[in-house]
Amino acid sequence: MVSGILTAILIVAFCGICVWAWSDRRRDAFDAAARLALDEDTAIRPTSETPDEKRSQP
Amino acid sequence: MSNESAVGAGSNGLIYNDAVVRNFAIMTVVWGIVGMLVGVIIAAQLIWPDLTYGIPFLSYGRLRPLHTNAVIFAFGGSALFASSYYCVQRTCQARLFGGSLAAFTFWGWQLVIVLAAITLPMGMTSAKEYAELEWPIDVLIAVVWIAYAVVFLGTLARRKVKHIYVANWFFAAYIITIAVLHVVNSAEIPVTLTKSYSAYAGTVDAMVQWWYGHNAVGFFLTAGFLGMVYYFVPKQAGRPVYSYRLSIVHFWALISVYMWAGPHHLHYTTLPDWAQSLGMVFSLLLLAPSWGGMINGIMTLSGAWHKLRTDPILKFMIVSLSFYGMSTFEGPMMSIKTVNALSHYTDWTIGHVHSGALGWVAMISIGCIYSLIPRLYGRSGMWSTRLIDWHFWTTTIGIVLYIAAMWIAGVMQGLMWRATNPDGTLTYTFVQALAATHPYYIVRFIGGLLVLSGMFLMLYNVRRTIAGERADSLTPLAA
Repeated sequence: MVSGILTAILIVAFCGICVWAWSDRRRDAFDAAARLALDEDTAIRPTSETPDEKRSQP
Repeated sequence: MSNESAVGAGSNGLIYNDAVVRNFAIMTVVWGIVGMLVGVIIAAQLIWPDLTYGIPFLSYGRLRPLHTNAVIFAFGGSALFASSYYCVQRTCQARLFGGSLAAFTFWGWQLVIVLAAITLPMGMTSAKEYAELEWPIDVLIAVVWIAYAVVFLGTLARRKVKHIYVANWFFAAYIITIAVLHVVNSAEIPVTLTKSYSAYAGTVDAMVQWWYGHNAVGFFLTAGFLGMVYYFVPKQAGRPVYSYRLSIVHFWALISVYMWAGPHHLHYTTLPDWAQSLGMVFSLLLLAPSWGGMINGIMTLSGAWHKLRTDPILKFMIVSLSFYGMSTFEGPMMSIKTVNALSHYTDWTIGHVHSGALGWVAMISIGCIYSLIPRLYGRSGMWSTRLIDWHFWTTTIGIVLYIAAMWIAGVMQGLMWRATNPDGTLTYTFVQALAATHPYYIVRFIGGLLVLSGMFLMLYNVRRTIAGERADSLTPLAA
C-alpha cells in the first residue's frame, strides 16, 4: 500500500519535472543557462593592468 | 589565452583558484599511468602466474585492489577534483570557497593514495571491494571528502550567477552521495591500527557492500563524469548543450533510479528474491536516463560534426559517450536474472567494467585534461595535436581488443561452466575453462598495453605543453 502510494507520487513528480522543464515560461531562462559553459571565455578580462584590452581565447 | 597573466582571471577582477586545478590535472596523468601499469601487470600475471616469483607484496590478490583503487580513486578522482573545481568557478563566476581548504583536499587526497599504495601491497585490507582501505585511511577519506563538499558547495553558495549550471548539479550529487556511501559502507570495528571488521554481517554486509559498490559506479564513475560532459563537451564543441531541458530530466531521473540498482550484484545469492528482482527492475529502468544523457551529449555536436575531423580532443569525448551508451545498454541487459546466470563470475563482467571504466570514464577524463591543460597554463593549445590523435587511436584500439577478448572469454566460460553430460555430471572441469581462456588473456594484455602506451604519449605531450613549447610542424589546435 505505502510503496504503491510512493510509486504514484514519484511518477507524478517525474511528470511534473518534465512539464516544468518544457514549459514556455522557462525557455529563455534555460537558453541563458545553457550558455553558462561558454560564456566564461568572453567574460574573462585582465584583472588590473590593462582593463580595456580584449583577450583572445584558446 | 594570449599570455600567462590572463590565466585564471574572471570578470569583475576575480582571480580563480587554478593552482589546485593544475595540481589535480597533472596528478590525473601520473596516477593514470600508475594505475594502468598495475593493471597491465596483473593482466600479465593471469597469463604467466609465476611472473613475480611468488613475492607476497607483488601477488595478484594484493595488486588487484591496488589497480582498482588507483584507477578509480587516484586517476578518476583527480580528474573529477580538477574538472569540478574548474567548472564550478567559471559557471558561478566565483573563486573557490574556503581559501586553503582546496589545497588541503589536494594534499589530503594524495596522502590517501600514497597510503593505499603502501598498505594494499602489505596485505592490509578490510576485504570490501572498492573499499579495501583500512579504518585510519577511511577516516582520512571522510575528512578530505567533507572538506571537498565544503569547498564545492560553498562556492555554489557564493555564486554571482542566479542559475546553478547543470554540470554543478551532477558534481554536487556525486560529492554528497559519495560522502553518505563511504561513511555507511565503511562502518567498521577497529581491532588494531591496521585491522578492522565490518559492522555488518552475512547477507546484510553483502547488500551494504553492493549498495555502496554499485553507487560508486553510479555516482563516482557516472554522475561526476556526466558533470564533466555537460561542461567540457559544450566548451570543446563551442556550442551549448543540445537540450538543457533534457539535461534537467536526465539529472533527476538518473539520481532517483541509480540508488536502488545494487542488488543486481547479488542475483541467486542468499539475498531475498524480491530484493534481487527490485534491483533488476531498477537496473532496466536506468537505460532511459543513461541514453537520454548520452544522446544529449552526442547531439551537442549537431551542426559541428566537421570538428571531429580536426579535433582529437572532441573525438575522445564523443567516443567516450558512445562507450557510455554501449555499457549502459550492456549493464541493464546483464542485470536480467537469466542473462546474469550466464555472465556472473565470468570475464564478461570484467569486459563490461572496462567498457565503462576505460571507454567511458578514462576517455572523457583524458579529453577533459587535454582541454584543460592549455587553459590552465595559458597556452593556445596542446604541444602536439598529432600526438593526441595517436593517443586517441592507441586507446580506442586497445579498449576494443580488451573488451572483445573479455566478451568472448566470458560467454565461453559461462557456457563451459553450465554444460552438463546426460548423466548430470559437469562436461568441463574449471581448469579446462581456464585453459580455453588463455589466448583471450593474451589479447586483453595487448589491449591494456596499448592503452597504457597512450598514457605515456599524454604525459610527454603535457610536459612539453607546460614547458611552453609548440611542435612547429604541426597544425595548431582549433580554438
